[in-house]
Amino acid sequence: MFQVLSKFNPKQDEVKMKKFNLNILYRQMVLIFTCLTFLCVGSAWASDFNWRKYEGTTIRGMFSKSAFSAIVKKHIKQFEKLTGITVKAEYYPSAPIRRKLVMELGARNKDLDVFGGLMKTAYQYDTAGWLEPLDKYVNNPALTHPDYDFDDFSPRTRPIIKGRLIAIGGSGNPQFLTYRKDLFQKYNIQVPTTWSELEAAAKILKKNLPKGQFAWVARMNKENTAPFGSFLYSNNGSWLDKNGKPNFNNRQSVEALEFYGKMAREYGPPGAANIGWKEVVGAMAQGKAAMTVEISIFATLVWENPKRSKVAGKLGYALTPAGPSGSSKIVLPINVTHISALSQKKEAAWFLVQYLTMKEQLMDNKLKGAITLRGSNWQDPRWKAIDKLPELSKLQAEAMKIGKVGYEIAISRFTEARPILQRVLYTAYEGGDVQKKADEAVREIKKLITE
Amino acid sequence: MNESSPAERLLDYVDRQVRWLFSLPAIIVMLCLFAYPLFRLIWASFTNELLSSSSKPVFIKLANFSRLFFEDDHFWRSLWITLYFAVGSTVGQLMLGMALALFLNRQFKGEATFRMMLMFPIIATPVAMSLVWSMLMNPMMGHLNYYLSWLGFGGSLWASDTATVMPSLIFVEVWHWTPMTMLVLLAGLKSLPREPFEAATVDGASKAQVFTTITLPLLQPYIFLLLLMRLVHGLKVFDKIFVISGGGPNRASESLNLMIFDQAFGATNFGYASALGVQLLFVILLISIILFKFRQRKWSY
Repeated sequence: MFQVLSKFNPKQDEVKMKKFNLNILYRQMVLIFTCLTFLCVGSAWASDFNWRKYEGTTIRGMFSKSAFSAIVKKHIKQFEKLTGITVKAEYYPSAPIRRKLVMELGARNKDLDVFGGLMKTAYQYDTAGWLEPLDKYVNNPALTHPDYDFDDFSPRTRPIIKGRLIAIGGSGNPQFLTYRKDLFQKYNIQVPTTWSELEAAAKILKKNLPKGQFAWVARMNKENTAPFGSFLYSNNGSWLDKNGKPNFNNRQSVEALEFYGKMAREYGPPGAANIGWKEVVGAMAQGKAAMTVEISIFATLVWENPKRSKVAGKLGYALTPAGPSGSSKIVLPINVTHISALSQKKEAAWFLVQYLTMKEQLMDNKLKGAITLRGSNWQDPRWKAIDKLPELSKLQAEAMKIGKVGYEIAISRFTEARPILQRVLYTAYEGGDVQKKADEAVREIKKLITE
Repeated sequence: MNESSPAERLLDYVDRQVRWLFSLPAIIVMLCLFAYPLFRLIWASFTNELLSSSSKPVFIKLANFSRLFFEDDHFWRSLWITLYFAVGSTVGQLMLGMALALFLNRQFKGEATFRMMLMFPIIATPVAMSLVWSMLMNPMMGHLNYYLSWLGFGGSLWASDTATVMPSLIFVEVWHWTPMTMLVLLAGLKSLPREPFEAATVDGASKAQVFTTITLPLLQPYIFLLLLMRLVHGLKVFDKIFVISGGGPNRASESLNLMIFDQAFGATNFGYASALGVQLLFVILLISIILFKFRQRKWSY
C-alpha cells in the first residue's frame, strides 16, 4: 500500500493526462479527416453521375403491352427530358414481342438496345448470347444514380443466371388460390390448405352450383405449364434436379401432374382442354367458376373491378394448397427489362433501364396496381393509403420474400420443351398413363439438352 | 443489196436488246421476292440453323428430312390435319356454293339484297371474324351452345375437344368462303349459253339430268379454278386455326403451317422449320400438278 502511495506523483500524472488528451484529440482529428476524405470522395463519385452524360444519343426499346404501358410511356417522356436521350419505343403484345425479339436478335440486329421480357425466356436469350450482364453497371457509381438503391430489390426476385444479373425485374405476378368467399360461406366450406381439402371443396361446389357454373377453372391449353408450377412446387416436385437434368417423372411431380389434370377434368367446365388465361379471367369475372389458381394481377385489374367483374368484393385469396408430399409454395413470375448484348449504346440503354426501375417510377406503377419488386414500395404510406385489397397485398408482399421465380423449366430450349410438357399435362387431363408419358417426356427433354 | 451503216446496225442491235432493259425491273423483283426466298428456304432446310444460337449454321445434309419423316410423329399427323382441312373445307364450299348459286340463278324478289347479305363474311377481317367465332364456340360462355340448348339440342365442345375441333374449323372456313365460290359459280351460270338447256328441255330431260350432263360440264372451268384456289388456300391456312384453337387441344388441329410457325418463331429452329416448309411446298405443287393433269383430260361438253 505504501509502495503504491509512494509511486503517486501528481505532476507526472498531469503531464501524462495532457499527453493522453492530446493523443485522443489527434486520433479524433485523424478520424474526422478520414471521414471527411471519404465523404468528399463519395460526393465526387456521386457527382460523377450525370443524367445528361449521353445527351443526343438515340436508343431503341421494345416493350410488352400491358395495363401499365401508359405509365411506361409517361416515364420514357420524362426520361427523354431529363437525359436528352431520345428513345424510340415500340410496344407489342406479349406473344408477338417474343417472336419479334427472336427475329431481330437472331439476325444480330445491333439497332435494338433495350427490351422487356419474362424470366422464363431469359435462359434461351442468355444461351444465345443476347443478354448484357448488368452487374458492372449497377456497381459503377459513374453510371448508377446514388439514390438507385439496388439493395431495395428483394434478393429472391433478382434475375440472375449463372451468377450474372441479366436484367432488372420491375414487377412480379405471384400465383395464388382465388376463391369465391360468398360461395364458401354459403356452403360452409373452409379455405383449403391441402389438395384433399381443395378437392373436397370442389366436390361440394360441383354438387351445389347451378347449371353453367363450375367449381374449378384452370389453364389447360398451351399455357398450362405456368399455373401448374404452383402445384408442382407445392408437392415438392421439380422440373430439373440439382444438376439441371429433367426429373419431373419422379413421384412428387407425377402426383402433381395427375392432380392438376384431375381437377380440370372432374371439376372444370366442359372443353377445359383449350382453356387459356383469357378464359380463366372471363370465367371468374362472370361468376362462372368458383376457384382457380392464377396470377394475382388479374384480381387487381379485373376481378376486383366492379366495372369489369360480377364478383368484385366476393373473392378471397390464399396460398396454393399443399400436396401430400410438400408444403405451400408461391410461384412468382417476374417481368424484366434487358439490355441487348449486341447494342452499341449500352450505357445510354442502362440509363433508361435504371430510370424505369427507380423507386419513384416503380411507385407510380404500384399506385396503379402493379406488383412491384422494390421493398420500399410496399412500405410507402401512399400505397398503404389506397390499398383496397390488404388480404391480397399481404400475400403479394410475402411472395416478394419467399416466392419462387423460376416456375417454368429453366433450360435454354424452353420453347421446344414446353410443348412436350404440355402433352404430359394433357395426358393427365385425359386420365391417361401420366407416369409413362412423363418418362417419355423426360427422355425427349434430355435429348434436347444434350443436342 | 442495201448495206446498213455501222451506226444503223448499232441502233438496230440496241433496239433489239432494249427489251431486256425494260424487263429488267420485273426480273430483279422476281429474283429478290421469289427466287431468293425460295433458294434460302431450300438451303436452310439442309442446315441446323438455330436463331437463338451464336454459332453459324452447319450443313447437315438430309438430317432435317430424316427427322421429319422417321422421328417426328407429329409431322404425319400435321400433314393429315392439313389435308383434312383443305379437302373438307373445299368440298363444303363447292357444294354449298353451288347450291346457293343455283338458288340465286333465278329472278325473285329481294334477290339482290339476299346476294349482298351473303357477301358479308368475305368482307370480314379473318382474324376479327375468327375471334368472334372462337367466342361463339366457347363451350362455357359461348352463344352457340346457349341457343342450341334453347332448341333442345345438347351443346358441343366445338374447338375445345380433339374430336370436334377439325369439323368446327372447317365449318368456319366454309362459312367464310362459300359466298366467294357462290359468286364465281353464279357468274359462270349466268354466262352459260341458253341453247343446250333449251334443247334438253325439248328432249324431256329431267332437272337432275340437265344438271349432271349440261350444267356441270359447262361449269367445269369455273369449278376447276375454284378447286385449285380453295385447295391451295386450305393447305396454307393459318389465321383461323391460330386464333380459334391455337393448334390445340393437344395439337389436334396443328396444321403444317402452324407447325412451321412454332418451329421457326417459338423454337427458333429455322433449319427444321425450312424443311417443313419445303414439304408443304412439295404438297401444294403435287396437288396442283395432279389437278392440272386432271384438267387436261377431256371432261368438257
